[in-house]
Amino acid sequence: MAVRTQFENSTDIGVFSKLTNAYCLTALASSTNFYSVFESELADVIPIVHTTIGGTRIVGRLTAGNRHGLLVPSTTTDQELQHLRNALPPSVAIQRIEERLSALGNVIACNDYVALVHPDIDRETEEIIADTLKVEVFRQTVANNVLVGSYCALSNQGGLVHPKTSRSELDELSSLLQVPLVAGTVNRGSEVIGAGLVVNDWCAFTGLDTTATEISVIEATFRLQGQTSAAVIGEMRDSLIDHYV
Amino acid sequence: MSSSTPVSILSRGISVYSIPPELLSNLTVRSIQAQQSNEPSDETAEKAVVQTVQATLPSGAGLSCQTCPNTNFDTVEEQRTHFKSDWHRYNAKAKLTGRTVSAEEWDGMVEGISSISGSGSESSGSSSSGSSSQSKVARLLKRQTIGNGLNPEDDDDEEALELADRQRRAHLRTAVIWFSPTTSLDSLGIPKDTQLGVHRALFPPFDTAADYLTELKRMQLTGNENQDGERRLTLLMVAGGHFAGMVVSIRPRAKNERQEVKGAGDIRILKHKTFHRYTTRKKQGGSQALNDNAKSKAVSAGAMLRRYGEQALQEEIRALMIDWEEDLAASERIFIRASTHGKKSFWGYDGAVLHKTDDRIRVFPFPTRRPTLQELLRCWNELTRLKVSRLSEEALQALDDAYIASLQPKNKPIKAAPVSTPAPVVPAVPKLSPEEEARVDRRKRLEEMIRKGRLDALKPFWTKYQSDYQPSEILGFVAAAGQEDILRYLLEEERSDPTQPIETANGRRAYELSSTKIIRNVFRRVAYNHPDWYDWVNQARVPSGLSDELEAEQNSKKADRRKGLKEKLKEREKTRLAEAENEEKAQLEAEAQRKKEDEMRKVALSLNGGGTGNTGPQKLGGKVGGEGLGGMSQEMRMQIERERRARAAEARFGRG
Repeated sequence: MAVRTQFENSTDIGVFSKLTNAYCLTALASSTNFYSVFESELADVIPIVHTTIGGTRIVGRLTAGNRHGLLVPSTTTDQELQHLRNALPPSVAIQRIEERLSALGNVIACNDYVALVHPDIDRETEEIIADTLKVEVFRQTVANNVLVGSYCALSNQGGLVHPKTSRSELDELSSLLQVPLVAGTVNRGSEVIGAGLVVNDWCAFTGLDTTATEISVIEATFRLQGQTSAAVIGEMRDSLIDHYV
Repeated sequence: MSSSTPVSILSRGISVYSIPPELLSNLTVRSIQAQQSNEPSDETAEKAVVQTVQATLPSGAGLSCQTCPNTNFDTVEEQRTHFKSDWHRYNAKAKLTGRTVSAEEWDGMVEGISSISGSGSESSGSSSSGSSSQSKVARLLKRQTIGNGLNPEDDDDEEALELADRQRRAHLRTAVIWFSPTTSLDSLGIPKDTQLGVHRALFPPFDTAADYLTELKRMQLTGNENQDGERRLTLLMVAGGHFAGMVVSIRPRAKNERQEVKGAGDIRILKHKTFHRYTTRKKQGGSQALNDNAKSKAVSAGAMLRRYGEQALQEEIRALMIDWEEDLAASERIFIRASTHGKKSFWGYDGAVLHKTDDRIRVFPFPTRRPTLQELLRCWNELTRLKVSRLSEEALQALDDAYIASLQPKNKPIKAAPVSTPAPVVPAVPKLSPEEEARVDRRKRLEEMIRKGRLDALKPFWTKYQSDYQPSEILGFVAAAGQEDILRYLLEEERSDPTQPIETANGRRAYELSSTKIIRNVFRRVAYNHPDWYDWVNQARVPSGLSDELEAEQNSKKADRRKGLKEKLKEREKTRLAEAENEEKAQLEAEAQRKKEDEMRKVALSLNGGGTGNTGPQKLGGKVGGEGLGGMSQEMRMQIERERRARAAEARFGRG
C-alpha cells in the first residue's frame, strides 16, 4: 500500500522521514499531520519516533538504517542519541559515524542485506556500515550520480532508481542487490527518488505530488499489492518515461 | 656594430624593453616544465583509446561490470567479488573523472605501488590488507588527478608523482623568467649556453611559456618616439616613515635631455619625490599604530609625535597620489613596497587613485632597502635590466632539480621537508654490501646486548663472532656501559685483552673508560687474581690490584668514616634542638612579661576611671598606633612598623 503525504507543504517526505522494517523516524513538525499519516499505517507494528538529528529536521537525509541498525552522523547530539536509544527496540544497533560525508541518507542506500555507498566514503565508515547494518557494502554510482542514497529507494522486495539509469546498469545493480530494480520517478517526475519516497517491505509513503502511474509503478516494484515486478518492467515503463538512455 | 662587438652586448646592461631584434627572434622560454608541457597529443590519444574500449563493451550481455572495461563473469559470486575488488573500487572513483583502467593497466599500477610501500603484498589478515588496499586506491587516484603531464613509465612511481606536483608548482612560478637563445649568436657575442632573465613581475600572469615570449616581444620599444608614446613605470616605497616614489619613462633618456637626478644615468625620470616623517621609535622599531593596536594607546609625547607623523605621512602620500594621478593611470606597472598598514596610504579610502585589485600593481620581487631615491634607481635597474647567466645544460638541470627539491611537499608536515639550500650534487650514501650490512646490524645487536646487560644472550654471540671485534674496544664499551657481569665474563672467562689502546677513545685503555667504581674494582680484582696475565700497571693502566682483604679494609674504613659523620650529624642536631628550646623559653618569658604589663596597664586605667582620659602611666613613643609595641614579638613589631610606613606614604600621596 503506497500512501501519499506531505511534510508542511513539502512533498519531499524522504527528507523528513526514515522508514525501515523495524522502525520509522519522523521529523518534528508544527502539526502532527505528517506523523499521523505514518501512525495510521504503522501504529502497533513498528515504533514511530519523533526526533531531530543535530537539531535539524532533515532526519531522512542525515540517517541511514535498516532493521538491524541505525547510523547517525557525528552532528547528532548525545541527547538525541539517548532519545533514539530509548525509543527504538533493543535489537536495533545505533551507531554514530564520524564521516566527512555527513548526510548519510544521501550517501548510503540499503536494504536489510546490501548497501550501496558513495565511492568516496571512508574505509572505516564502510566497515561500520557492514558491521552495524549487517549488510554487504558496495561502492557504486547510480546513473553516474555518486549520491546513491538520494537517487534510489530500496527494500528487500525491490528498488526504484534514477530514471536515467541505463538498462545494463540496472542489470548490474539488480544482480548486486539481488532484487528487481525499476528506473522511475516520484512526485510527478522528480528524479530524486530517495527524497520523494520512503519504503519498507510492506508499505510505502510518497510525496503528495506523486501521480497515479507513479504510484502503480511503486506498488508493483515493491510488491505492495501482490503483483510481480515483471509487470511494471514490461508494460509500464514506456508510458512513464518518454525517452531513456 | 654587431660584428665589432663580439661580447660587449651582454656586458652592457640590456634593457628588457630594448632587446636587439636578432636576439629576440631567437629566444625560447626556459621553464621547468617547458619540455613536458607540449605533449598533449599523447594524452588525447590515450583518451581516445579508452573511449573505444568503452564503446566495444559487451553491453548487458551476461554478467558484467559497467565501470570496469572488458569484464565478464560466469557466476553472480564472481561478479560480486569483482565489485569488492580494488580494481573496481578504483574505477568507481575514476569513472567520475572519466578515465577508467583495464585489468592489465591496473596490475601495472598496483605493482608500482606495492613496490614503493615496501610492505609485502601477501600480508595476511583480511582487514589489514583491506585497509592497505584502500590507501592504495586513494593514492592511485590522487596520482591520476595530478600526474596528467607525466610520462606513462614513471607514472608508477610515487616519487614521480611528488615530483610532478612540485614541477607543476615550480612551473613558471619563479621570480625570474629565463629565456635562452636557440642558437649561439656570434654577431652579438652570445653563446648558446646563455640565459637571459626577466622579472616575472613585469609580465601579466601567464600559464604557458609561449605567452611570456609573445609578451616580451610586445613589450619592446619600437624606437619611434611618437609611436611608443610615453610608456612608464611607477615605483613607490614606504617604510619606517620614509617615502620614495618615482615615475620612470621606459624610453631611455636622450643625450641632449637634462638629467635632474644625480647618478640616474640614462634613466628618464619623469617625476620623483621623497619625504620622511617621524613615525618609528628608534630603538624599538615598529609603527606607532601597531603598538597602539597591540596594547593600549601610549600617552607619551613621543607616541603623540609618531602618531601625528604617521597621519601626516599618510596624508602627504595621498596628496601626492592625486598629484601623480595621470602618471599612475598611464603606468604599465606599479611597483609598491609597503607594509599592510602602509598600503592604506595607497588604496582603500575615499577618493583613492589606486585600487587594490588593480592588476598592474606588483610588489618588488626582491628585498629592498630604506626607501630613498638611490634605492629606487637601483630597483629600477634590477627590474628592467636583463639578467645574464652562463650555465651549461647540465648545471641548469641540476639547479632545477635542486629548486624542485627545495619546494616543500604539499599536505605534508614540515619536518618531512627536504634540504632548503639548493645542493646540486647530493653525495650519495655508499651502498653497503649484504655482508657489510649484516655486520653493521650485528654490531648494533652487540651494543644493545651490552647496554642492557644481557649476559646470557651475549655468551653464544661472543663465542661465534668474537673474531670480528677488537676485544679491547668491546671491553671499553662494556666498562663505559657499567655492566660488571659482562666485564667479568669477558675478562676472566674469555680472557679479552684490556691492554690494547682503544682507537675510538684516543688510545685510552678499557680501564680508563670505566664509568663507576664498581667497574674499576672489577678490573682491579682481576688484576690481583691474575697478575701474570698482562702487564696490568703499565699496559692496561690498572693502578693496583684489589684483594679481598684490601677491599674489606677499604670498606671498614669507609664505614668508620660514615659512622663518624653520623655522630657528627647527631651532635649538630642536638645543639640545634637545644638552641630551639632556649629560644622558646625566651619567647615564653617575653610573653609572660607582656601579660604582666598589660595587666598593670589595665589596673592603671581602671584606677583612672573608665579609660576615657588616657592619662595613666604610658610608655613614651608608643602612641602612634594607639598601642605600645613593647611586649610584641619581633615579627609582629615589624609588621606593624611596615603598616605604619605604608599609611604614612599613603598620606603623603593624598596630600600631593
